[in-house]
Amino acid sequence: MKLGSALALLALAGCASDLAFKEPGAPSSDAAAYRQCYGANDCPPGSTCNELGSCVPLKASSDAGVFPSEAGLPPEVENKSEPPATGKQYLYVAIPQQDTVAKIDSLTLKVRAIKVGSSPGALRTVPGQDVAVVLNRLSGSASILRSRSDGGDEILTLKTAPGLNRLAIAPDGKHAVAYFDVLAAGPSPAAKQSYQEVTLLRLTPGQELAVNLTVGFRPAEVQFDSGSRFAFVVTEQGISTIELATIQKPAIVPLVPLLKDPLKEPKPAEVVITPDGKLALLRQTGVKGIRAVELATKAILDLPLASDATDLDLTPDGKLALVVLREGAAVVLVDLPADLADPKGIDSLSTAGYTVGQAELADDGQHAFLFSNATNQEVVLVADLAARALTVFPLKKGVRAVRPAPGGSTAVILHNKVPGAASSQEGVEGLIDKSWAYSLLSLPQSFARLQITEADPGQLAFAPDGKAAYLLLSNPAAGLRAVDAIDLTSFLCDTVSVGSPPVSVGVVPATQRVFVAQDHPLGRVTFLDTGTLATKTVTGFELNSYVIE
Amino acid sequence: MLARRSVLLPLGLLLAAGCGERARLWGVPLAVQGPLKAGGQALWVDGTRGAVFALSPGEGGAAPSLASGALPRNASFVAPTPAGDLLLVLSRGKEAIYRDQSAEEPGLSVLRPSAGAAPELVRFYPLAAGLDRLAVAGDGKQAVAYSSGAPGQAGVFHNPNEVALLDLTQPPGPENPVRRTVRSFGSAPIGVVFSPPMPIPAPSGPAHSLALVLAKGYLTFLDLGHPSRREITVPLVKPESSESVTPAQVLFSRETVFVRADGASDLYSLTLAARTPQAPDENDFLPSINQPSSGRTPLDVALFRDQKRDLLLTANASGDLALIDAATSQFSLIPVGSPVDTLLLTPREEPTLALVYSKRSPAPRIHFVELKGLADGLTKNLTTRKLDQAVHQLVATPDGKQALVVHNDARTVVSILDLVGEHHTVSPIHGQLPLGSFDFASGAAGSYLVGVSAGLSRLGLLDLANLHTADLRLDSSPSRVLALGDRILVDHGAPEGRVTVVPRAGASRDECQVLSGFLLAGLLDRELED
Repeated sequence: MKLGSALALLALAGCASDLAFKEPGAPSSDAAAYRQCYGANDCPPGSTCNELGSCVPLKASSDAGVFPSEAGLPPEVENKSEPPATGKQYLYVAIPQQDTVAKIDSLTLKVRAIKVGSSPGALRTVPGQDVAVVLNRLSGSASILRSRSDGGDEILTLKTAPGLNRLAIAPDGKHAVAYFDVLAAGPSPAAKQSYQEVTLLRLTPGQELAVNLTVGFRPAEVQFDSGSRFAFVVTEQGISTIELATIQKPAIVPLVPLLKDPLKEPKPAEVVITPDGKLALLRQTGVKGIRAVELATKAILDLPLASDATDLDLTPDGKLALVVLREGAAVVLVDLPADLADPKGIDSLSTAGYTVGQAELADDGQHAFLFSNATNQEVVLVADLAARALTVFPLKKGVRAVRPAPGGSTAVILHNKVPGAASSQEGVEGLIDKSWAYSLLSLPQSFARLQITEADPGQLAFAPDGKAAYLLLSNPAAGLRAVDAIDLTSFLCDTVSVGSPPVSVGVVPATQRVFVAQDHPLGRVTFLDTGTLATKTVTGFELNSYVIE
Repeated sequence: MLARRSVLLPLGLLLAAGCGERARLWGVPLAVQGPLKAGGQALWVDGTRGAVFALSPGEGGAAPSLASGALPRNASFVAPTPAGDLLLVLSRGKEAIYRDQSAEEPGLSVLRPSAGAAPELVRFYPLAAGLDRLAVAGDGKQAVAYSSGAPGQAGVFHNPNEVALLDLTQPPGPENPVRRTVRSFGSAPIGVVFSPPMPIPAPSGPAHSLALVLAKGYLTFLDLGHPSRREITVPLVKPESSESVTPAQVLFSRETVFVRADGASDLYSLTLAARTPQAPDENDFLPSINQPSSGRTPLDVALFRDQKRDLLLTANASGDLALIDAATSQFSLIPVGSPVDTLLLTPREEPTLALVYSKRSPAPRIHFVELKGLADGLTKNLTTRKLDQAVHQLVATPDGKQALVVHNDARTVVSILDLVGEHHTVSPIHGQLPLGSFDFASGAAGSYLVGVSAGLSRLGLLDLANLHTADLRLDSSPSRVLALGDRILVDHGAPEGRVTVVPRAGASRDECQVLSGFLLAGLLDRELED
């Protein structure tokens, strides 16, 4: 039996984050491993953090079209993290050089190599199922892998548009949309790469189908409504709306423009679509206000606000939009759709005295965590969205990002690190500022705990019940390769060492395991038992594909 | 005058008749290997003349005796079986080039030593000419002959990947040995290791005896019970990798093979998973690779069981130890604070203690690691003993109660380390020169360490029970010492052969015998044949 070769992407049955194990001489596609900064507060004064994670002078960023605010503050950097969509039992790893996907059983660590198309790349799994979809970049196809009860797999490969490198799966798992994201293509996309073609994949067993569609220019992301009836492809020209169940053959997807005058208006900086699929909300840099677009009628409604929005979020039920006005020192709550018709109903919470540029909503839609990573401000504000009130929580360090735990009552706050080496001569505060750290925040107890680390806090995953979190720590120079297992009820942490620098983490709820994928030339994944923290590691599963008989 | 002439002519004719063309072999240096211990004898093999010389040390007051016998010429490799009951000799064979020469085919001779007599040739297995190395299974029943890859192999072509699988319990025949070429990816075998019987599937499946052929970058499984089945090649690196990884150590548990390789920062764990063959020449198992790691580069590895788990203990390049659960790869690090690269587990069966030191950077310290409960105790199970002199080698005594600590020092030659007592006392033993050769003798007189140093014509004896020392003056400088039971042989390394036979530890000079020139015994008694 002959099998395949080198490891590139990792996805747990359900993990939505693209990860690449570092191949010799090649940078990892997980830019986090190579980033200098995540926000301006990781950079020296007068600098900002560009989209590639490098500190650049504010002037240089202006030359690149990224402007500081009127007050001279650097722009916010939004650190988005797609939560891994967990499947049931298996972990799938794409091995592009062997045209193979390795399937690892999180319980037994048994590895099975599955032959797919040429150079498999983006891989997603259907939520709650051991079904994986992988894009085969060089063969222009997608393979659907369904795990059987006997441990084997059913494999079906469908032709797609060429060169697609991103995949989004609808919440009900019946459809997926593959598209080309130029930012993920590396320095040299193929010369003939199309920037306006996507493939709709129908995943229903027995009814599998791939349909190529023409959409607006440069798809940036794909969102779905909660009923999985529509896929919304967000492009530079507008939103291409795909009616999932009805499409049977190639077509031009109807486009809903987001701009009244594309030649004069700035492009949308952020677009969110309500779960019912009726409304798209967007903010534009330099525009004081937000815009709502009715997707059915294409009607555009502008909502003027005191300053331009630095962040825009929707509650999970789609009934409330939260708009952060950093320069306006306010957080605006827009009830949908009522406040669009009658803006007088809009609530504005003053954040005066603090710099608030971003918001992270808890998944219960009850709270929003407000912060800024443009300054070294050592606070986080929490908005009670029902009571329309703000609470200020002082911290010990500046904030890079906030990750609310499932359930919304706790959050993990990732801190920035002030440039420079920590020195005792600067006192405790100075030491803390120049150390890496994260904090744990409990809303019911109004309590925060600082945890200093020896490495830049990396990826984070939560247990589905919100009672635990798992944070990667990697500092090769210090020999630190570990994952912090955080008990979110007691705020106590256990550090579990792994053999190689960790690059990705996720939770497999069905098997009570956490997986930690690591940077290893031959592939390494450690599974952590969430109860005992005992580990099991499988390494070299790429080599299994080279065993020859 | 007439008498003289009449004497000279017949004398001249006689001389002319006696000075004929002598064998070319006279001009070839002796190629003697030995002494080797087998069957209670010391044996020397001369590849030039094709001869084996056996010295029986004498039992029950009998005098030592010598015997010699014939062997195929050009021995390339000589070794006793692991049990020491047979001597195995690989020979390259001989071509008949000159008139009256007789050809000899290359092959393996199996000799059984016999007290007081020359070893008996039990079997001869013809082999290909280039096979000049032999690996023998622990039970002595099977062997694999392979090529060392040394330059100067005969022939226009030579296949370094050819091996021969031998069943030493069966006579030679069409299927014994089995010749085959091992799959190669550019390199050639550097060694062969035999597994113990491994049940596949574990724990109660049919036992498989496997030979692992080691090569740079990969290793190959051969099922010795089914020599006609395909080999399984297991890579240690990806084909396109520029890493140079060479297997250095192989350990076996019930269902898993563990490999440490030079150039690799992880261990390899090859679990033999059962499967149903689809073809007659397909194997009923397939190795599944995992790489247990502690994130440190292992320089030595040992396998032991504790609390029903297989555990791997590694000495790492980072100056620490790692304990790795073989099943889960969960690991813990034990800082040592000094270079460590060698592990000695004792006792050999079911070890309970690991002695840790550095051969590459000898230092005057030994670390002791209690293996029981190590996973829970970690550094609490580690103690360190400082010595006066650097430790170059540790050797456990045959009974496992002590260890010999070899120092490379002219004054403190060795130390004796007590392994049984909880204090692990270390007793230095002084001398005049670093120890050149040593062995352990045991018998009615007790257990002794016997040792010699080149340049000092004396035999040293150390009573391991009470550490009393004794000396025996020798007639000439020693090269090597061997113990055959309680008899001690000192080989003086003379090309004609010279040994001093000491009947027992504590014997006087008068009781010893020197046997000299035995490698030339009978040399003029018969014509040497080319």
